[in-house]
Amino acid sequence: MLSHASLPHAGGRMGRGGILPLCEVVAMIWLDVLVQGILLGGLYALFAAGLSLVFGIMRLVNLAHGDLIVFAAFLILVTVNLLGLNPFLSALIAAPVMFALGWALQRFVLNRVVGKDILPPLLITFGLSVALQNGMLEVFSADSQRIRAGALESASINLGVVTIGTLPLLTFGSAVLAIFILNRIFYTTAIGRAFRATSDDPVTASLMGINPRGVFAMATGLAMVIVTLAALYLGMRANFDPSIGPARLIYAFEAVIIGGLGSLWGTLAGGAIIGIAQTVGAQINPEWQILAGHLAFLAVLIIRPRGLFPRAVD
Amino acid sequence: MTDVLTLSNVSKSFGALKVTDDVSLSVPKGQALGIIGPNGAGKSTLFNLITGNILADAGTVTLLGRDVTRSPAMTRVRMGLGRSFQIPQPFEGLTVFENLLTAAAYGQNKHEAEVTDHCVAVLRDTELLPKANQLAGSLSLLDRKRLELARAMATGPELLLLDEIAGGLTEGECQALIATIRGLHAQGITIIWIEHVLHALTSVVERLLVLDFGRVIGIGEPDAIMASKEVREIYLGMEV
Repeated sequence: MLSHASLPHAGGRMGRGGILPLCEVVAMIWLDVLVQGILLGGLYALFAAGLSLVFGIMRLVNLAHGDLIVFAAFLILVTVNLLGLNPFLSALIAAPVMFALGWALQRFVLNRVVGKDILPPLLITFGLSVALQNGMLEVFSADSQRIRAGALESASINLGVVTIGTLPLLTFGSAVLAIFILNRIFYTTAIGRAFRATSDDPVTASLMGINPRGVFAMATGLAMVIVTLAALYLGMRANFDPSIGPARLIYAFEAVIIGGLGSLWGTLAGGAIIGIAQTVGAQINPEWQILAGHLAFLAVLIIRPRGLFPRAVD
Repeated sequence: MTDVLTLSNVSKSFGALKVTDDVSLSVPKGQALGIIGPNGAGKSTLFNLITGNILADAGTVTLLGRDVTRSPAMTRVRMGLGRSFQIPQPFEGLTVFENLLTAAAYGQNKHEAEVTDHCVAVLRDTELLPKANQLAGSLSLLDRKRLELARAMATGPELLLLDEIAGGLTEGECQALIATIRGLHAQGITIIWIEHVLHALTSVVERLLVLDFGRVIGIGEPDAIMASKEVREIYLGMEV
């Protein structure tokens, strides 16, 4: 996980006239930590947006979400290796494949168990998680992999006060764009209104000519497109192997809950809070990075159990 | 006259309880049929069987000449069936207009742009136009009932099912709603209306059906039905 947090570079920064006063250096270090934390939050928001989308529409918690992110990362990796494509182009190829996979998963498996009882879908997706991890272990081995992004991996932008990695900035920008587009879909398109109507009441929606099962399948398909985007940045920023899915699920879950279940912008805020907590934790002691994220989650849970931006009706 | 809806020997049981017992019924095009019966008589279940929200154990449901006994609600709605609920169930997170737009686009299987004018007309007919951009969750009871009606109308129905739409309204509100329903009926829409507010019902419908313990115990002219001793005993629960 340490590789997610770019450690601050402020230590070596010099003023024009010589070494900066200590308090300024400390302030710059913490500003850097804050910025890196927010940018890291973009990755967590991407992990979480698909989960939030599916939960918001059909109250289904997909326990295989993290493994599906890893699966998408392998899919991109294979495309990069086989076709020699740039990772972004490979993700463009992987996205429709993942959409189809999500659509079929919902249409043929999850729709059979989705309903008032939350337990059957949990069991099914837990089973899917185990099967996916073992399937990927069989095919790709337990070796750590990485999607090579060439010069982009180490590129950075110097803003004077802080230096921002281009890849973390792209990740954050993609998260904001993805959530913006999802919100536009939700509030300005026919399928978006059908998502919201079905989320409100699937039985009544069916009496308006909406096919709730079709709507659910579209939603899971869309969530898998976001998963592909999350996988692209995960794969370029960190090493991955078939076993890391469940931890990604936990970060995603925490971001969704901090933000308020079903709220997409809240998910971005949730991701940023975990990101900031992790980089602050890592700054104090590198071993505290993960723990600090979880502690921030617990703190929000104690102070605002329904999250920061809960939906009015749930 | 062609029949919009035909039920032939339709039955439905929940466990040992037979809630719809061998119901047969035809509704000709353009007719307004009222359904009355005591609580628990199986009126709403009958609606659910017609809409496809529950499927019949036996018998056939024919909508606009097509056997829809096993078809899901979505298919029946797209064929021309609209329904309002006893307890209003608007999509609370959507505006009034979005409620209609969604119902119209999916119910008629058209693009939103093609149904916008229709939605505005329905909003005007149901006096909801000034509240078009309000969230449906913020509406008063009368407006929620109007929205129920408007949303069912937005799907472009040939057959409209109204489930206790006048219940809980003041007399003035009730009269306003009756006027709206009369207007719809005058446009040639076939209506089946379940209602406890009898004067509202009988001022619109041409035929009345009485249901008790899931069985049809009378069907005919409203005056004749209301005058029948059997109906008065069962429905009003008293000897007269």
